[in-house]
Amino acid sequence: MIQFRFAMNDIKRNVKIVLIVIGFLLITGYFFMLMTTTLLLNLDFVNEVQRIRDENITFFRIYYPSEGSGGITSETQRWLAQALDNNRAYSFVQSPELSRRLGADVIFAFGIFDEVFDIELEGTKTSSSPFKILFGNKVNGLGEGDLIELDSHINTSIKAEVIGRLPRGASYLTPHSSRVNKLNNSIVVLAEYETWSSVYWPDSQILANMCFVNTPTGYITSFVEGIVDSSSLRIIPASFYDYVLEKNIHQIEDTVLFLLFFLSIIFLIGVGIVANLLLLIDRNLREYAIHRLYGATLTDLYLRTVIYVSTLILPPFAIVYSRLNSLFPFMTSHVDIGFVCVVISIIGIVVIIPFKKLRNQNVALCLRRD
Amino acid sequence: MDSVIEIRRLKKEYLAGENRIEAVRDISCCFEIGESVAITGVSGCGKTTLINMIGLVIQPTQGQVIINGVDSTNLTHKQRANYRNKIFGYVVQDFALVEDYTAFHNIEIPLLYSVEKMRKSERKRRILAGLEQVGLLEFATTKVRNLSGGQRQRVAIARAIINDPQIILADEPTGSLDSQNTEEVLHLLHSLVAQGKTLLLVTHDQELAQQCQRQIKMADGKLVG
Repeated sequence: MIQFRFAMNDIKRNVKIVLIVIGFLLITGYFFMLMTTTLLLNLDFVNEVQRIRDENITFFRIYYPSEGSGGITSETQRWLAQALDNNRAYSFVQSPELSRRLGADVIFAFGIFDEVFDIELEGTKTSSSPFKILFGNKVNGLGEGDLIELDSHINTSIKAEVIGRLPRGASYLTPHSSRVNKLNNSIVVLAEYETWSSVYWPDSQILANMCFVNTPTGYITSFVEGIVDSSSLRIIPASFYDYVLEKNIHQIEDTVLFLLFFLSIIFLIGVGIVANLLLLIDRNLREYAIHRLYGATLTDLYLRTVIYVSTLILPPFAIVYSRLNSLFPFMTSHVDIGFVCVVISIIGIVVIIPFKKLRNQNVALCLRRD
Repeated sequence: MDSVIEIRRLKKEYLAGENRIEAVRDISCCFEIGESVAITGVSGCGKTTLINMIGLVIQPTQGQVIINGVDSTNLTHKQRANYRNKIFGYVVQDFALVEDYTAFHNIEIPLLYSVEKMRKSERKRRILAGLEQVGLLEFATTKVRNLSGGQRQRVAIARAIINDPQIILADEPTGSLDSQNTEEVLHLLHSLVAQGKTLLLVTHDQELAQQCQRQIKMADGKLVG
């Protein structure tokens, strides 16, 4: 604690420079960590995409008509039901109303959603109910066997049974976003499409999220023709893997460029901190010599320097980190460890030269004013 | 009398460019408990180097400094720091005070590094007692840059004795003081000897040297008398 007191004295003597450095670090650190988080999310996404690479997933790019609603007709529904309930495809829709009521993100998942994203649990298939509920690890207040009332669009009461918890780390992918959608705080309602569409009004969301898995091209072609003929929508099949990989690689390249830019600014700030430290040490040399004369060791002086540097570096990074953590609450614990390692490394690098200067200090010489 | 410090064949060499300079050459002697010894000699004869080696501020190139029977050559950095904190009290010509600390905080330094941990209140009590001993109690909260030369040197003496050291190493302690302050400082130092402390006083002033019980004369890095 003694060295903490002396380090605080150093801060007081340098308060303007300290505030400027903290300000710069706050701004640069924010963008740096934002880019890092984006990059990690993109890489995580690409990894997940690689995992399902062999599944040969096809999704659809949808072109809406310039006039009219482009709504889904009963014939379109027949095509969707045929694909989803015959285990050729999966799709999902989000339910904002239910999410609000249950306090967790609720999605209705159809077809082979549970198989593709490995959220299948023992017992899932044995339940004959058309609506089965799985809930994420962070969802409280639900238990196996509970019956949940679902709000339908036609005032019919539907009860769904909770059949279990989702596996830890369960997630799903969609070509329309560039991140892995974690299901920790979600409720997944596994539903038969035909039953679901009899009580809910489907919209084009279900088609936008529709993905065929390992389906012969001929079937997909006839599906596309069926949809185009039965609705005013135009859909074009595309490879999920190729599409998201291409889109993400561009994003990753852009993010890396930004990251390098902010990294170079942080490097310059680091150089500034080192210069400031060297000036501080120069000014304090006599004081250090007096302390060493009366019992301080080099370790004490190193500690004082580390505390000074940490006071400059830690608060901005902590503020930035807590802000980003609130933006991306799904960041996992290894990101926390990575963050701590990065900050410790920065402090370590910054103090190398000042430590050398302290080690080479000639106490006797510093005590002589001449 | 018991020997508190014994130096054996002490030698210190410096490198100045490619030249090797011998600041202290093969000095051996003893200092007893409670004696005052003046180390005299012309400027540059190696007095300060000798006292810095005795005070464990610099490492000798060769030889031994034995303090209370312990060979300091074998001490670790931490042990050397503890010796500087507990065994020695240093008083130097230009006071070696931290200019923007108060008198109180300057005197506090040795207590902060002391092995024996003490409460803040006890620390305060000892510092104020030290200030009272040197007649500067009312200047406790004054920054030392605002004190006169004599007052500064008295703060330095209070700091040197705050940990109750056995040995006072005074390197030209009156070098930048007027005659009245010189007298006051010397009086303080000799009162410490009267309390049983050993005083090694480096000076080139014969008048000051004669006030000590023993004189050692140095020339060209060697003892000459």
